Amino acid sequence: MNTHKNEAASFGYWVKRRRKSLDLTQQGLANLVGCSPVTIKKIESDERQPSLQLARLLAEHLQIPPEQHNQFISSARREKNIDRTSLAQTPEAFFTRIQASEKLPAFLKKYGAARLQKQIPFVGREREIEFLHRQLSEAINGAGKVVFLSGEAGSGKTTLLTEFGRRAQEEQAELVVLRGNCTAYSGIGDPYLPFRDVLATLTGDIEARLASGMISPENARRLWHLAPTVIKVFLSEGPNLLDSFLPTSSLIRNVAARIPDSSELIESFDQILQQSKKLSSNVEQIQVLEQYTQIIQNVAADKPLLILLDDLQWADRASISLLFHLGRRLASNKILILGAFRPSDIAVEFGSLSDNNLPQHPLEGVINELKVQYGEILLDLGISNEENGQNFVDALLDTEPNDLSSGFRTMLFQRTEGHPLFTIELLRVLQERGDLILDAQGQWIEGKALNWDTLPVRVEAVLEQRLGRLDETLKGILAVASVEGETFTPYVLAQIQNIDERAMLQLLSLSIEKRHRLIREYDEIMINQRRLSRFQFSHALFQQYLYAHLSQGERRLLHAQIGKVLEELYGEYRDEIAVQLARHFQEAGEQSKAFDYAIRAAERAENIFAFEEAIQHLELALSIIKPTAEPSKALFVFEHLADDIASLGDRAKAIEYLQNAIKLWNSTQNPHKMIGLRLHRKLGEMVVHMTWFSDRKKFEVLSKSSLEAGLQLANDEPPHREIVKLLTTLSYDAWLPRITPDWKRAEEYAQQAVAMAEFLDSPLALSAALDALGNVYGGLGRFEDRLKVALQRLNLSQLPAFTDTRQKANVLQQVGQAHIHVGQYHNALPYLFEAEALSQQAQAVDQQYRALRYQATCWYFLDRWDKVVEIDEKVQKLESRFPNFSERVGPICFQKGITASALAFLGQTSEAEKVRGESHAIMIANDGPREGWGRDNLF
Amino acid sequence: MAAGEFAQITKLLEAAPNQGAEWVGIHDLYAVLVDTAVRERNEAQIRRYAPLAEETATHYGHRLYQAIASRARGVLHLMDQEPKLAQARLEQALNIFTELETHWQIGRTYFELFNLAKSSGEKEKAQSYLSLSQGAFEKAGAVFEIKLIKETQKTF
Repeated sequence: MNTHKNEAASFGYWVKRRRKSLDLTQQGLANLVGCSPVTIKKIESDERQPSLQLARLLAEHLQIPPEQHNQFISSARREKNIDRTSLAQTPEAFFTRIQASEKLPAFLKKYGAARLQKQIPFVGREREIEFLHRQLSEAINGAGKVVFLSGEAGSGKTTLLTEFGRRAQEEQAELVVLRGNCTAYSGIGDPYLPFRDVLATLTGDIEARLASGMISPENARRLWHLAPTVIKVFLSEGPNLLDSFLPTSSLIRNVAARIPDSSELIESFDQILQQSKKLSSNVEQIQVLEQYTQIIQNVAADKPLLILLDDLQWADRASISLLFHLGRRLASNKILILGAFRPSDIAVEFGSLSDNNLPQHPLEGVINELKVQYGEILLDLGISNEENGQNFVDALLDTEPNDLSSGFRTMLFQRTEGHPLFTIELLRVLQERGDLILDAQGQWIEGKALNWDTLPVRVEAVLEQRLGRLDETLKGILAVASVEGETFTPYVLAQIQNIDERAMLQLLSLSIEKRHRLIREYDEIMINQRRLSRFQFSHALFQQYLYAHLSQGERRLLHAQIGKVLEELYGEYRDEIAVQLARHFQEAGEQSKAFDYAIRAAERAENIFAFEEAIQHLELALSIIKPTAEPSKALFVFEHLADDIASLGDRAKAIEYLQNAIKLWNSTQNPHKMIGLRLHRKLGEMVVHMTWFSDRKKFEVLSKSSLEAGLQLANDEPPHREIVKLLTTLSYDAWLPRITPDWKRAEEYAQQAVAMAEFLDSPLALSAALDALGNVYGGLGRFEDRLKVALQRLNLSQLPAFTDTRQKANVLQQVGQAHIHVGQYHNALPYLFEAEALSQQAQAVDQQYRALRYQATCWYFLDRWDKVVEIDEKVQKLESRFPNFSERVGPICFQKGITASALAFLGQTSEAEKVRGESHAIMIANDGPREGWGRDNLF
Repeated sequence: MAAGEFAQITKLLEAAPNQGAEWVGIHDLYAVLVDTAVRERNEAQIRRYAPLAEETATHYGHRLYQAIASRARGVLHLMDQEPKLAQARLEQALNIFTELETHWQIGRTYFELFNLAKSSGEKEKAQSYLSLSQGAFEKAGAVFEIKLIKETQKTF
């Protein structure tokens, strides 16, 4: 064996060589970096990998030259994917490189003169614009907030949003304007739709938006320059959003556009993405919300942001949760979120606050909560219409040269009451009918035939008249479009109407868009390597009118045809539109397909941690089938529902679904044993891992009978990973929910699980089984055995199968804890530091708290009360960042208790008393009054 | 500590191992019990818990608790008027605390050594221990103990 070669590649050898060159002993180096000499010894012999923090300290005290720091730390962390010889491939170097590529892309020059999408004329609204400018100015000065525009269909919300965005961007040289839209058909159930739009724009997906006029050339330029910063922040703060909020392919495409001639760099970027993806598993929705918030806050620290969210009445629940989470965290950020919604749509679908029988629309609750934080944030466009209606009518008429009388102006106001859409569309009717004509000077004047009595009196009637002027072919095309939705694809219409695609585009563009102004070009999308245009109705009311006037039969047939064309068009990417396909096939009455797509939509939602949407799709799937007729399908849905509901924290409800699934499984002929075993195990596991002892007690009997049933199913079965999981759960069940633990049984089950996992050579299952065994040793006071088991898990966690950061953090925390029990506080701390860093990276607040808590224990026993108090400050910061902190981490009375004690030692008696009171209050809330503590009948 | 609280704490601590997943080892309990008894100067309880604390701490190789138990033994020898044995035990504890750099514990042990020297009439030695105790408490930031030392200085 070539020893020299191996040593040359070894990090341990590097450390040893540097240490000796500095004439340091192992003890001396250990003193400098704050660890034990044994740790240094193990690092030098490559038996141990230092934590990131320790690696940094080693680099500092071994005087590693700055240019070799990254290489040294990568080597310490054994990041094999990163070539030690090529600094160009480290993330830092990579971002320096892409930030340096400031050259503007060709498309920015090409569309440099493009203008924003032509909107209906913007007039009046000076009061509203002034109010919004005030809010923006406060946000730019660091007092960010959320403001809502409320107004019925046609009241001008979209126009006001667009105009305000345009003016704000003109006036604020640094401001970046972003927009996310919700749509009626793909919006509800398509998780985070508007926020995904915002993120895609921020990371540089701007060409198509610029081409279609959705963003201005100036805004595109700002976004182009900002994108490298955003991408860097995205990768450090939002590992779980990759491929869920933002497809990897899109990110690579955006980066490639910046460095077109460097395939090597793109490859290294791909490697960076792969590293980042390793963090992407086993997270909760709250972490996703937090990661998104962190990204936006970090970006806003560089450039102020104005985020426009339109049609929030159609937003999916996940987006509303994100709006709430982000909205509450804007107070010291340069961010203004401006959301628009229709109040009647919220009331119609869900019921308003005054109606106690119907559930409240989630947006209503969010608005009320944010009002408490920010004060008056609701701008009602309905109220301002009444006050300024006549002014609006006058201003609108005066956007073009005219010689219209005051009588005409008054009549128009009386007819429309200043309702923007009504006024604009009525004027168009007047022009089309020849009631308004152009004179020789090019001014609009009243025609002789003007008869107000024959004009429509309601906005719906105006729309009807406007659509009535289309010929049958165009009307037919728009009717088909209305079935696809508010936004539609000319390619789809061409297929259904059997018209050439180009001819269809011409018809839509020249005739309906330019002449009738009923639709507008919306954007361009890439599907299956094919670029397609999309159009949008100029107002949602046109689409609703057309759709409502189709017969049931026509709708059914058209939904089926559209579903089929979309399926073919999207091919292998059809899951991307699973929500729409489920709807089309459900409306078409094709239940089997509707079921399949509802399931795919649910799985897609689960992948991006949008469990509420997943539940919505699963409930739809369940409503399509008859559980008794198709038990295996229903069982699948029930199990998924249980998992998703448990992910949202409602384990009691999840248990109900699991019971349904078990019932179905029992009624199935020749059921698969492992499925039944899995369902029983999941039920037991859900109970065992409930946060609160009282909840565990409540379901104890149910859990016991389920686990026993699982055990019976495992009888005479060959070793299987599912059985390992069952045995592991049984081990916990023997002590965790019980006042008097049965340690003997707990140990037996854990030992059996370990043996079976070893037999199956399954490191992940083995680690989980060892975790259970370690807990048993803890309970039995066999702390030296517990430490051995923890170290065994630590070794396993170095295997490539362990990609989950949360699992790694858990192992490190357990190793730290095991050291504490045998009094090795100095040895425990490095593991706990690393556990803290990893949990923070993975946004796992529960684990981060535990790592901090055990660090506090170490410092407390080492008489470092100042450190204990520092940790309490960190915990307080976490508490303020995560709204449901206590639900996620459980009671924090112990940590508060030792903080109180440390404060008392430090002589801060009044503060100590306050913290002690907090600790006591948490204990009472958790365990009931003090008199009952220690009694078996406590629960 | 108010009268009767020690008994109450003892009762609660002895019942503690059955309270759930936060593992409290028997060695944790005996270390707390014996140390609380030392601070209370509760001779019967020190006599009861010191051997148990020492045995369990040694079983787990728990250095901090070994030192706490040794100090308790030293205090007991002091009560039994066995100054040499007391000195040896307290120094044993001091060595471990110094190795662990636990300054509050070091300060407390020096204070016991001060008590020992004082009871033996070795005034100079006692004064030196008192200063060392104060220095350690200052390192730990133990405000009340520093106050206590200063008051002791005045009356010594």
